Amino acid sequence: MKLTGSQIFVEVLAEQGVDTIFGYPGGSVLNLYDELYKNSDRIRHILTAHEQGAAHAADGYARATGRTGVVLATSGPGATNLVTGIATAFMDSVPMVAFTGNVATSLLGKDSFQEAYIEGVTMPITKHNYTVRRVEDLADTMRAAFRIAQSGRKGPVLVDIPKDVTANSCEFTPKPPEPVRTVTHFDEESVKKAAEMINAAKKPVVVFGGGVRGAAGCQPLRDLLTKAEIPATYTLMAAGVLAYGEPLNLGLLGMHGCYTANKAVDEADLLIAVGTRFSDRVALKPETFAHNAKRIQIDIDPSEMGKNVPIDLALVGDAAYILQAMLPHIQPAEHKDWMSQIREWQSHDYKPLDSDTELKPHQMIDEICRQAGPNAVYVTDVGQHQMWAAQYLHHTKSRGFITSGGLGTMGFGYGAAIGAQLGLGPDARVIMLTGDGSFHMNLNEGCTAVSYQLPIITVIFNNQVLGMVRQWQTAFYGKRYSNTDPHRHTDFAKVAEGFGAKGYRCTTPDEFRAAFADALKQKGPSWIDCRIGKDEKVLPMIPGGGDINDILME
Amino acid sequence: MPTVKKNDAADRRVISILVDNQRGVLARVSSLFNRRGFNIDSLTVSTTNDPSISRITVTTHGDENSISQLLLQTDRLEVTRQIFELDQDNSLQRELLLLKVKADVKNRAELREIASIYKSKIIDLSPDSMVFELTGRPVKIDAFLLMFKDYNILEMCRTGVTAIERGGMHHHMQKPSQEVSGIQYPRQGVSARKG
Repeated sequence: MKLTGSQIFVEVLAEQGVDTIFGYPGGSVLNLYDELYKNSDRIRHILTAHEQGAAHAADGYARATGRTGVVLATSGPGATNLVTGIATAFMDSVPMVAFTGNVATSLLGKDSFQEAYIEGVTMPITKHNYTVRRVEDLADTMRAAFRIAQSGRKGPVLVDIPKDVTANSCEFTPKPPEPVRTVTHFDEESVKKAAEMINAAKKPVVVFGGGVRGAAGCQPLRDLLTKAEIPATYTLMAAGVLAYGEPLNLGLLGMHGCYTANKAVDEADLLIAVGTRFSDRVALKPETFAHNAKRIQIDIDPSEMGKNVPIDLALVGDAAYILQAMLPHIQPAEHKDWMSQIREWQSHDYKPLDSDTELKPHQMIDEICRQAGPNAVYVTDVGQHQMWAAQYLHHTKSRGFITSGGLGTMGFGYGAAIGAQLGLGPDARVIMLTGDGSFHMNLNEGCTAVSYQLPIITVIFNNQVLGMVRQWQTAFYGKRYSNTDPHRHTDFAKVAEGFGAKGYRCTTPDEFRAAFADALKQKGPSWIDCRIGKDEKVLPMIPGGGDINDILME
Repeated sequence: MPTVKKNDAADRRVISILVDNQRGVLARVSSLFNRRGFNIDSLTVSTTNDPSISRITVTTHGDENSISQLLLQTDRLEVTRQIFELDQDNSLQRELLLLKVKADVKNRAELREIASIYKSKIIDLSPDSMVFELTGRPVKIDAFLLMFKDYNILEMCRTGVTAIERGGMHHHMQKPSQEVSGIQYPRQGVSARKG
């Protein structure tokens, strides 16, 4: 059957099981949009306010559902506006396929109107990217893009399609989607050796990260922890894999991780790292990180082995398969002395002070969890509120905490929340936690949430300053608050109303309780502007390059 | 003055990379090297007897960990079919030098003597210059250049190292490209952690 490039585009999307894409039209993608118009019953296109929002939405969709997110933008500025979104997905290994239009092949390389060499621009922030120069290559290139995005360590792939390729025709043969290439092989000898090391350990600790976000990885991990009584701590990317309050859950590790988690890693005699890459926000000082421990690293990406922190035993492969294979070799154990030491440390963990009159971040988050229930999905922006969310949310499920970890993208949240809500459906409860700094970056997507009547509740931790940077200026720059106090007078409740959303403003715990309860009843989006003190800090804190001995608790 | 490389032959490592022969492949590989800050001393690229494959030969230096990262990170690229380090004793390494030296009637004879000892060809002669061509291992080229420290070098260029394994070992090129599997960590002969 002979089809145009645009028809092939839609057919391959359908073939790959894509039912939702995010994007923004423009000159170079007019043919594609015409075909999307004709196929609106097969593929739902979500129009955002800005291409960056579309990219974050595709990312949020993928993180919430585990399916590959798809974003479409026009050439030139449309394509370059995707860049931050693609880089965000790349750093956090999120499967995404980005399609960009480009000028016709005859105009490529001539500085034509709205031309950008997006293949070159995105080369270092994608797993791979393509420019499709012949319509005959389009179908297979798109299929390869989906395969690469979902295989092994997941990540974004970009496909650039010049306008004439979308208009030209060629023969098209439908193909079923290739099965996702899961890494099933691993070295059995190393697995046995790891089990022996675990069996011999007196003070073991597990550190897990984004690599166990997928449901398959969670259960064998929990089984390992309970079978051998190993306490576990996690990185930002894995909040929710172990439920809040589980006895072996030590909480967050790293710069703003809790004292006990950092102390346990420092004192452990065996560290088992699962699906984590020892980033500089976790292993702040690689030379002293887990310096008393033998270290085992389990990761799907061999290039992560020993990249940041030297290791003793490397296990390359999918954590789910490796842990499953390891379990029979693990002897049931108790580590009474180690656990009682940990309980003792926990009594020294940082405890924020409550207030009945002022809004306190940890109390707000408690209240949110109490009202929203265990099935809510939380999305954050980047900054102090993000760390409070990581520390205080009652995480209950994997994929229930969506945040930009590696790239730390302010402005990530609203687009991602829109993607998550659309991926999970109207009955899901999606709550976005943001700060006034981050929210100012991409609140334009408020119009998108209104257009599609998405019941996202946005809680703005509004301290009127750029709090995280200000906190550093307080601690390390002699309180010289350079450009962190912007004197903005934004009335978020009014802005919400301007967009057609519901707006609230609160300054006390009672007002917040009432506002949140009312927001839960809304059919569309709502924003709650919460005034908190500008000197609220994220604690504890280990300064960059420091270790447990440098931890700041006040 | 010819620039003699800081690192001597002892810690020079030679890496062979078989990549898809397609547009932009060199940009992908060199962008990665730049981004990750790998030490690249020379890089050559050409097509092979299999028209779908190009071969990139890289000389580099550094500790075990940085070489390991170079191999593993390059292996992650979608265009990389295979990457491996060449054994110094079991591989042949060659580099080509073109060297233009100021020469006149007075010193022509002594220059010809150097050339003949190093088996270098004189490929151009003008009233005031000579051009030498020399092929050999990088150390030989370095040694040859040292002989010219008291002469006036007008221009020079070196191609960088190209290398191949000795004997019948050509299994790298024989594997069906799509089934070539990624390298695993730790690499053979590399211990995960020292001490």
